[in-house]
Amino acid sequence: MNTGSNNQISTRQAIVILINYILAAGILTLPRTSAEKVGTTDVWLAVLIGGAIAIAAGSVMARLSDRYPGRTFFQYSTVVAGKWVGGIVSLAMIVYFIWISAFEVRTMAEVTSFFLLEGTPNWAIVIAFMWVGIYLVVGGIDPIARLFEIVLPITIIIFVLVTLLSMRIFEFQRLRPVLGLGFVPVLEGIKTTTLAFLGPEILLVITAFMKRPGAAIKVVVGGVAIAAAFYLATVILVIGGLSLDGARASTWPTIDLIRSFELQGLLLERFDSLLLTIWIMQIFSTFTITLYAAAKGASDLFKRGFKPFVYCFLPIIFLCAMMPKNINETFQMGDIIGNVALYLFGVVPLLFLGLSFMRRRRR
Amino acid sequence: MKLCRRSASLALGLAAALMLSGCWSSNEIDRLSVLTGVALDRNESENAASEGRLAVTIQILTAGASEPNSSQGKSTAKPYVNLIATGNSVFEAIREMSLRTDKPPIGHHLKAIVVSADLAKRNSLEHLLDFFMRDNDIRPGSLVFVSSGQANRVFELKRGEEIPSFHMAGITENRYRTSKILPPTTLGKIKGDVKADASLLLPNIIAQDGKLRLSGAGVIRGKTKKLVGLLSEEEVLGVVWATGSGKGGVLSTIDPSTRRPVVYEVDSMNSAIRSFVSGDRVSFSVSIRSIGRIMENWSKPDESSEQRFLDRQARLFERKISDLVERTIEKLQRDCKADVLGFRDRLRIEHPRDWERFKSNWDERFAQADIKVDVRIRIEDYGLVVE
Repeated sequence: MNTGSNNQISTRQAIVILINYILAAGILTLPRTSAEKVGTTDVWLAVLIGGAIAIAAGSVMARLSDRYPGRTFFQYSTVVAGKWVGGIVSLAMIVYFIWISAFEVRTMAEVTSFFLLEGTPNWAIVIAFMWVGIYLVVGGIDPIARLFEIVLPITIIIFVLVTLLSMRIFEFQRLRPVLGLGFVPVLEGIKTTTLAFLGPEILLVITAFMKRPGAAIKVVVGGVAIAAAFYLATVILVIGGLSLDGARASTWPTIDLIRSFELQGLLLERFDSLLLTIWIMQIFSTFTITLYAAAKGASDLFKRGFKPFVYCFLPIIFLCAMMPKNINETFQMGDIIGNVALYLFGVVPLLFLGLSFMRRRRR
Repeated sequence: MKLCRRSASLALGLAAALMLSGCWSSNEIDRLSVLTGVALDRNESENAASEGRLAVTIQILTAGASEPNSSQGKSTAKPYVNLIATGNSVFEAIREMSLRTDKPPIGHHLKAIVVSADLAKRNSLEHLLDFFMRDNDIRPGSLVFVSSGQANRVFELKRGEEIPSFHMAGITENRYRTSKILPPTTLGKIKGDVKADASLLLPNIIAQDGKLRLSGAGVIRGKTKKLVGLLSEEEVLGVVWATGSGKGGVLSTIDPSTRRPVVYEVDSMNSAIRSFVSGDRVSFSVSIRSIGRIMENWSKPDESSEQRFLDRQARLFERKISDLVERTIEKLQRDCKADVLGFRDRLRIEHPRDWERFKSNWDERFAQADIKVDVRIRIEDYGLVVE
């Protein structure tokens, strides 16, 4: 399947893919969801710990994929766990990728129609978005990686610019005290923050295309660390700018933060549209990489062509994305996906890694 | 093959005609009216029950507002229009305007929201501002004021060429000139305070002889979110000194020995609040530090040593500041029972566990708290005149 050097990605490209996958809907909602759970100003600590857990879980997946160079999880799962178990787990993962893809599309539609395109029906936004996505995905991993390499620097520049401008309304007081109520509140937020780091599971797929599969762990550490820096900056600036209760009271706290100040004398006075632009690019990258992973998984599992699956998953994703009736159901859908991911990518890879070691030893 | 390609391109071309109807949700800018201010009043007419209890005034810019009308000389037309509608909810009333103007109002440039004190006494601020916090066009940076008079009167200025709601937003930026102005209270900030059940101050704006004036502040109590009192300009000065939030300004006092005024210009002010908890008792110490200069002096010194003179003046100002602050705190504790000075934040930071116990009825506890004020000022120079 992996013919030609065109289908190989460098370690750097793999890191970029991972970052672009992790950064998505969470940037806009994490300050609220984590502040709700933690309830104290120690939210940033929970983000750090969440990142560390994601690195640990990601490393397991990286190590597992590293043992089967050139093969995706969907190809080696049957070898590791047998035809039935491996097949079912693979199928579950494909369904998961489809769902997360649908969730990203839906969140994008929700925010775009609320802030940017009031009056445009959701389906119109979603369909345009998905068609552009499919154009990228049918090209395979290489074009995806190259596009992501363009998107990430733009994201970083605009993000740094916009968030640093918010220092105008930043008050350090709002981030104090540190651990005022002890460590228990932090523990309560860890699950939420860990789930913001969904993304390392992509290594189960892309390690197969890496020029140096041995560097997969490096990819996990680098990718999650950079994404964690983004999240940390977001959470600290939002809570410092809006206060903990302000973050808890807004549906999209990060947008609220950027909308809370205006700069006079600069070219632009308002920066929320810039933030939304990079954010839509990030959602787009998450959407495409998950669609790719789902189609790739199905094609490897059923040993059929890749493109037909891309096309036939598209309407499924559309239907799934349109399923939540309102914004609450959309957020609930995100929670369910997160809970599933916890088992699917927290526990299962560990079992598989164990199995794989046992198999090797028996031989 | 050729035919096939040709018919395909024809079909595509025809499909493109679908786009001819254009962007169907577009609104040209000259077909919109820009909403810059909203005033909320009580509907005092007799049929308030049927019309709705709120009287909402919106200020919209009229077309050509920003053009200088040089050709006509002095035009009588004001650059804005005020529309009043009634309703039981803010949103309903604002939408009601669409029955009267051909241009729908858009909220992107809303600068000021003014709530009449009368209305704020009876209604929770959270409910009054709810629409503004939810709306997707209105920005969290919009300023909120209270008005001790009728709120919509501040939208009528004598000088026609000025837009009142912009004017209001402009006044709040004069904090480096006077310390009688509070830090801006934006919708976004209020959103957080309301969620935290924290008491807050809203600057009071009034119309005086057809001109705007920022005069004192309204106190909103955290639990009920209703207005519980008004602070005078002096008391706002006390608040600014107690919180050290001023960016500049002047303070004058009468030198008792000569009975002539001396004026101190603030270069910097700073206030550090510390909290102490023993059992159920809470106490605070407020240390205010300021550096500045003598900028006007009607009272020439008799003493030969100018250092002694400066020291004496410094003590005078310290006395004046601590009087101001103590009187303000007393009013907040006794009359308003509302902590708007940020004592709650100090307690939350310094005694987080005790704060958990106290936060549910903090304003009552604040009213009982012991507060000590200590002021130190340093006069660094005396302008370009040597005594």
